[in-house]
Amino acid sequence: MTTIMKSKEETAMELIAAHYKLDSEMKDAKLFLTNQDRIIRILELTDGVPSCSRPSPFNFDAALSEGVPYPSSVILVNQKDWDKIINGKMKLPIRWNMKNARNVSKEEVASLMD
Amino acid sequence: MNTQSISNAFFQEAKENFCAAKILFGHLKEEKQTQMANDDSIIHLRGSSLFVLLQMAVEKLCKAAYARQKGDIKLPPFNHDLELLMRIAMRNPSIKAFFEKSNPETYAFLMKELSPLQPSNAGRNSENLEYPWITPKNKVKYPAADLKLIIKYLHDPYNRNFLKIMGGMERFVLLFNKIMRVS
Repeated sequence: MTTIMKSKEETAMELIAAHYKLDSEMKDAKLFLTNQDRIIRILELTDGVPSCSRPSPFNFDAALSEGVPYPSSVILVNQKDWDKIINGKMKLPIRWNMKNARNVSKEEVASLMD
Repeated sequence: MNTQSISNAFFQEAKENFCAAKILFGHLKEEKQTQMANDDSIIHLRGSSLFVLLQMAVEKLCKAAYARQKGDIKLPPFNHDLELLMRIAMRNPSIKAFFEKSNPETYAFLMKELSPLQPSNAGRNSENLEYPWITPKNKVKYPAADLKLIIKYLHDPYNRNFLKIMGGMERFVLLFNKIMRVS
């Protein structure tokens, strides 16, 4: 029997949708996908998290039983830090290259939130 | 040192805190019933430590869940901010399903009412869970007497609000028990 594994992008979209659904204060997300490794990296704007001097990712293992076959890494920032990152005044860690970031709005993943 | 032992240490301490919270809650309920039966016009409520214990339990549960991963060692964040820690826990693929099924009232309470009162969030001059504070009018206040949460949650004669919170907490701890067994 052949098992078709979900793509990294498909999994990322599901994860982002779940985060929007669970965190009512999440306003925006940027997805960083690279061919260099298997990690799904997501930068999320959510009010209620403290400001930081340097954004640090929280890393999670893959969870096959939950339909997440890739490890993920999430950075949570508030509006103030989000603006600094967008304006290039705050740097993200290596492999979090803003040039490769893709915006994922709540509307874009709305169909996955049901 | 490995992630399992770090996680287990946080989990055992969280259970200890929650167990103490449950004992204190039972004691406070009994005390209140006695006061009401005696027609005591002033009901003395000393429940601030209950909130401290809940804050400590949830903080450690979130840290235990974060450390409980199989990859590289993931030290839990050195942070007491319950709101941040809860948001991290929600994004943990291994436990997000639990949050999806749960009553949001417990999480709203933990993130929006308890978290700002944690001493490092509240600062020295505003209401907080553990230490006396001084108001802008130079009045000294302290949690045992002046915590608004006590009025809101423990002054309710039937403890309905707080029973919901304790029920949510119980499920939260049970979930972590499951995670600890399967991972």
